[in-house]
Amino acid sequence: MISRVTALALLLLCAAAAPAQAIDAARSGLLSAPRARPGCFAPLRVVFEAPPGATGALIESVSPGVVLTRQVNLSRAGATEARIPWFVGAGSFVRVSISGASAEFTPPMPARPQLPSYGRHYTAVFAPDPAAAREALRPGDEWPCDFFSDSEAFEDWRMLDGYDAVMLFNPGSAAWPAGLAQALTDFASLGGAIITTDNFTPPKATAPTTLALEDVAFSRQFCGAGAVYRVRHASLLAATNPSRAIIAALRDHRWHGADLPPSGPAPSRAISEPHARAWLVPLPPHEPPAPPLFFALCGLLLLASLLAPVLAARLSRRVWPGALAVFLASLAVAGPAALQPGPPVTIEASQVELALGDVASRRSFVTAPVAQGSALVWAVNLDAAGPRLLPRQAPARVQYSAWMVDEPDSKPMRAAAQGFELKAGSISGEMFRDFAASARRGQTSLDEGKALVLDWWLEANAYRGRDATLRGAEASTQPLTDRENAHWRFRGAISVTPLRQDR
Amino acid sequence: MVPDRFLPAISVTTLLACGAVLSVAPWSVDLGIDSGKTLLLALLHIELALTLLLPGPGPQAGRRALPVQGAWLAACATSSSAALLCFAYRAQPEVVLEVRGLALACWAAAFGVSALGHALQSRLGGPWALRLRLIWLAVAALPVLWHYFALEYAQRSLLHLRPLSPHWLLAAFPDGAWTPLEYWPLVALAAATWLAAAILTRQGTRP
Repeated sequence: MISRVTALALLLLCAAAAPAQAIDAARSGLLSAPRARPGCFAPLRVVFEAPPGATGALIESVSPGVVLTRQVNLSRAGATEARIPWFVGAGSFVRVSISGASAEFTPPMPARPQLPSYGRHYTAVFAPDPAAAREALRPGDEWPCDFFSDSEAFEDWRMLDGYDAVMLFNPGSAAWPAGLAQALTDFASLGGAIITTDNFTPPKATAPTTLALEDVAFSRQFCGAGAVYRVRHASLLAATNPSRAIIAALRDHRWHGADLPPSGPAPSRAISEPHARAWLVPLPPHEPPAPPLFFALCGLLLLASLLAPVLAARLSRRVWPGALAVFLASLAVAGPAALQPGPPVTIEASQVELALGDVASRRSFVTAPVAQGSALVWAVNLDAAGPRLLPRQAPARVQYSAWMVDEPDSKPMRAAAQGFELKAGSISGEMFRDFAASARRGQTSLDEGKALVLDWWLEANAYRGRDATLRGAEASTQPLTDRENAHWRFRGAISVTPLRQDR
Repeated sequence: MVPDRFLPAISVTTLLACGAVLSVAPWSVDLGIDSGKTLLLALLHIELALTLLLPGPGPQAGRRALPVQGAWLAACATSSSAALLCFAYRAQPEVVLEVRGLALACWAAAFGVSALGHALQSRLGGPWALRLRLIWLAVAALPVLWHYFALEYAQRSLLHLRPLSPHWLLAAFPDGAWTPLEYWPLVALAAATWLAAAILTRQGTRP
């Protein structure tokens, strides 16, 4: 028998060990379950118990090398629900912190992972009545869909990261959330496809063109590298097989107007991942100029070591006061000298921009050395105003960390007037690899950094049969993230304008 | 002979001047010093060389000889450390701090040998300070050469002598990845020489 005191002590111990706010694992999980795309961010619902008196909770989506944070205001105690993008991959979890106490939760991996493919178009469908939409659209293996109600529509494109397309299936006049338009504009600028049965139009979309796909009339507008396909709700439902028509529209966009899919594995975003590990060979670190403090400390040390023994000898006949004065002065110099911030971390970035008209998006390839044995972590505040960046960790060289950072709806870079047209794997009559080699040798108008990025892009994309116009561009000089004692080095940028096969 | 009171100034001036010269772009590139860390490592080697090359404090009379020599030891070790830490804006100061134990052991052994030499010289006569300094140089600076000769002519390795040579130890573990007392022969040598000097000085001053 356990005595009453022992039982009470055990209860108190358990109560102390339990976090103040417990995450409800049964009600938390991927909104898209059982589907999600590995290597991308997926929408996650977190339900947690807020303790009485708490006014705010910090939710962190932690993945290797990246932490996304969101602040949630708590109006009352009890069950609270929040949504946050969560990286589908090993080593990622969610942490909820309230008043210094925190709890962690690792959602189960999706039972049906949706790997990127040109033959399968993973789509998020928003509809006032998801069950009716599923019945009407009848998605299949070629068109896997996650259905959400209109009230669940995401206001941040980062929740849509894993999807190839978004569909607004709206028979009436559903009131979409205010932020949805911006999220969809961001999504389209990064190369996503949007299919809508209502009047949604991104602000900077091109003029509409009409096309018939599977006997259904679509109106198509380009928005940067993405496209919006508008179809009348009634005509879509009247089609023999609505899903075939939608798949035809998605193929029209993702296959760039060709009859056959591009070759090779599909990238997770419009700009491909680098073609090989260790894609960026870092340059030597930036060596800072000597700060004024260095000269002051050196001067003080020289003066102290030269003058202190002489002055001490004048003041005293003993020898040790001189040595003691030098010792104390050296200690006084060594203290602030050891507290110098050290050299800045050199962070290198190369950028590829997708631009069409006034709409652009860019992907930055960022490399930073591992400092003092601990890798850098890229933190993103999802509530902050400004560019809605989404970093994800990339393969890197030993002792380095690397990220690919997507920035939607970015300001177009200043690009060179002269462009190089990639057509059927050739540029200016040369095979793309020969052109890349001549660019690396400095035989084109591109400098070394731009030629390097061009080489990557061509290796990753040219063999897919994609056509594009490539231009050297002026990389931005703004740091992508706030980090103290960092030196940003932008090595090169290119601007890519995708060209369709049926132009 | 260099006056004792200028020993810290010599070490500081040498280190700062070497740091300035090694930071000049064409020379640093030619010498393979392409980062702040390599610059600090080069300066650390120079500091260890100074402990071998600098003459220790001169002979002192009376019972206060050893405390005075100890005070100059502390002044030299601290001022050279401060000179190296001034360059911490080029690399993390840990590069310097990790080698402080080894440098202090080296300074202590060098000044201990000097103190013992002066004590023997005052007691026995003869150039004991010079003799011991020569032995100290042969012990601390030449193990690499002995290792090379042993390999070349006797096919034997003298790697076990590495803890005797501070430069060899630093070159083998540039990140200071040695165990804390791997250089125990230097510490033992420093302790033995200071102890022997103390005994001889005390006996010498006995009425």
